[in-house]
Amino acid sequence: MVTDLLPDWMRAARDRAPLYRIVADRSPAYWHDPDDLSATAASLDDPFGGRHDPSRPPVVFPQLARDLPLFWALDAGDLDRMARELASSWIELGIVPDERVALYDYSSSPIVAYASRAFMPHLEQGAADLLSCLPICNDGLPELADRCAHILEYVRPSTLFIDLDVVEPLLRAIDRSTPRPQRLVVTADERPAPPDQIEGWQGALGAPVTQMLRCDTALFFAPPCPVQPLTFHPSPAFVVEARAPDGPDFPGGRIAVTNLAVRSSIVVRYLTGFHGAVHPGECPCGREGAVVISHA
Amino acid sequence: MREPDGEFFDPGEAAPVDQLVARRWQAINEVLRVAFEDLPFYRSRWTAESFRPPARADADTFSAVPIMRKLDLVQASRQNHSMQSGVEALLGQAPSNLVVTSGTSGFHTFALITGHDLDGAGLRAQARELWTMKVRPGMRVLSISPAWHALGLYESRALTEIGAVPVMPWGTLTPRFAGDILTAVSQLKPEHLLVTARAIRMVLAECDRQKLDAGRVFRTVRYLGCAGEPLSGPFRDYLRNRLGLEDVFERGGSGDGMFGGAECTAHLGHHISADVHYVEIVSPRTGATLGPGQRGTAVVTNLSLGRSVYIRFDTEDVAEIIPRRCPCGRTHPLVEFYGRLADSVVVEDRIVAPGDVRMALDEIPTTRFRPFSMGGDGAGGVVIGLHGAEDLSAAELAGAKADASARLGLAVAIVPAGVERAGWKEVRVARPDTADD
Repeated sequence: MVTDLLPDWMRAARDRAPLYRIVADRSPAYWHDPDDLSATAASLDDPFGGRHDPSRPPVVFPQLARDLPLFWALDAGDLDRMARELASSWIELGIVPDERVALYDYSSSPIVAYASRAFMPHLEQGAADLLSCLPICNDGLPELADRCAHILEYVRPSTLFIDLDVVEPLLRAIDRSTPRPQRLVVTADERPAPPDQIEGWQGALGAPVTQMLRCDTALFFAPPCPVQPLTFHPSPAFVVEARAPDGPDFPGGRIAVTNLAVRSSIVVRYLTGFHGAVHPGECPCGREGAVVISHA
Repeated sequence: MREPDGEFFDPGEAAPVDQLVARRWQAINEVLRVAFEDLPFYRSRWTAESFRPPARADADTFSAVPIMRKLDLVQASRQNHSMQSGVEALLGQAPSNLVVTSGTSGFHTFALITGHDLDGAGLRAQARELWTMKVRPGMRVLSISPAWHALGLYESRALTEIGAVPVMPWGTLTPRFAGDILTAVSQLKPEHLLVTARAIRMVLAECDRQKLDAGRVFRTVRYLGCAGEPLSGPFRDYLRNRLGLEDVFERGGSGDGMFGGAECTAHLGHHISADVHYVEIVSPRTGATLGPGQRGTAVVTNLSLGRSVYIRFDTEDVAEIIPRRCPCGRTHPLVEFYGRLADSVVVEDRIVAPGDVRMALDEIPTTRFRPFSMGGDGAGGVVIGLHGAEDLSAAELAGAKADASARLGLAVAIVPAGVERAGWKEVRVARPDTADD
């Protein structure tokens, strides 16, 4: 069980990254949220929010998320492992070698950055390289929806990963004759779309629409369950827990993520903006460890 | 890893000129052969124009190769109804990346890249470009290399090859992300910034909005590499002084044609890797190849395969080859770029480009750094639409007009124009989908 790794991971976090020494004084179980990151960044004057392990020299400093003055310090091993996680998500989504994969999001988005070795400096193989797919990116600006429609028409990708904020502009930019991808995969930082919205987009597009769960501050993403809506299957590189019950109607809590793939910047029990539960048994799709999201 | 103090990225940058020329024709022979035998775009066009590649290309025979333009690629892509326009020389390799080119003609074409070029000639040219601008191993370099743009991909690989440590702000090079770029500079303290001139203007505007001392925020930044438009002397001085920089480098090239180059510390022009790309200057009026020191449009031929290959591709960028050897010791040609031909005014045999108007306006205190648009007046003069001209007094406006006229050597009218507050290029990119070109 990957959760068996957690105690060792927590000890290492405390030894290596100042955030966890600070957090442990208040929360021995290390639960922490964005405010803790920001407070640590301010108190230590540390752009990494106290998560960087100084024994691992970084090769890149990507910003965590838009408008957030915090950065990752990542080494080549981190990049490699994150690309493998992304490739694993692509496989879960049904992407196979030789497919064309379009990405309508910013280059800084983890969904784009780890897709190709040409998108992220010091990355030796991105998800597309690992799967022998052909990636093409369109910046995530809403005003570039026409260009994305043009990509659909001329490139005919099998899959389009798209930021939630640009789904509507794209739907306005396409017409009946625009070729549809085999799958449209919506992602957004800590904002899962409700099932009725996904259904609405699916109806408007006339093609399958699904979504990946994503939290940029934990460098976390998880592909969807093919059977149950708002249910996701994180890879073993992510330890996902639900902290404290929200109430009697929902036996779960706030979703926390421990990222075992990144080691230069340590992420242990980061409390995301999602609420939900970790499915205790087997998911209807047959797998275990499903995360069921109630709301963000 | 290379010597951090080394002047050149590789010894080939100082190769003897005759050696570079010999290699160029050798490469062109191979490119022409492959194009005629394997690439439908060239084969059909050249056959239609009764052109066959010569057995051995040289300057004379090469000038007979039909020039192609963006619209030719657009037409081919439309006809094929495909991302492929028939210029893809992939050497039997699977492509690793697909990039979209600029939409300046209202239609985006695409280009394919394989690992052969991403790790080969394309990488070498881009790594030299960064090295020329003082990017060094271990240096923190702010980079927002867009993943849709060919030169962004090469930049990413070149930063890897050099061993620089990129600082990567969220988003892209548009005003809404100025705050994130500023945050990255203040938090991560890079030594080098690779941005566009437009981006640095918007970041400085954000600095002003937040009432920050730019000199303090940028105190660790030693160098600035600016793409996107020609930089005037006063603008370089302003950046150097305000940000406390050691040097400001102009860089640039074309996503269409997938080539570029940067200035060295001598600032005489852009060093273009002559063993990777061959740049000619061609008269837009006659199509004749022009000599060094003469202004026309830059026509590029890629000398490497394993990618979409552009042969005598007219970038429609106004440029000239600088007729001198660079004191830095690089033997590759120096090319100066002045802006898009479509934005220029052609007066008889003279091209007045946006870069010329920018230089003139920046020398005049009342018009310095103001965004502008330009067009012909139909009588051999130029009309400049100046942002904020309505704020100038009649005397100031008359003075600016006379001064600009004297500097440009032709009649000038200055009228108010409500262009976006970033620079001349925004006028051309009124369509947002070309905002990052």
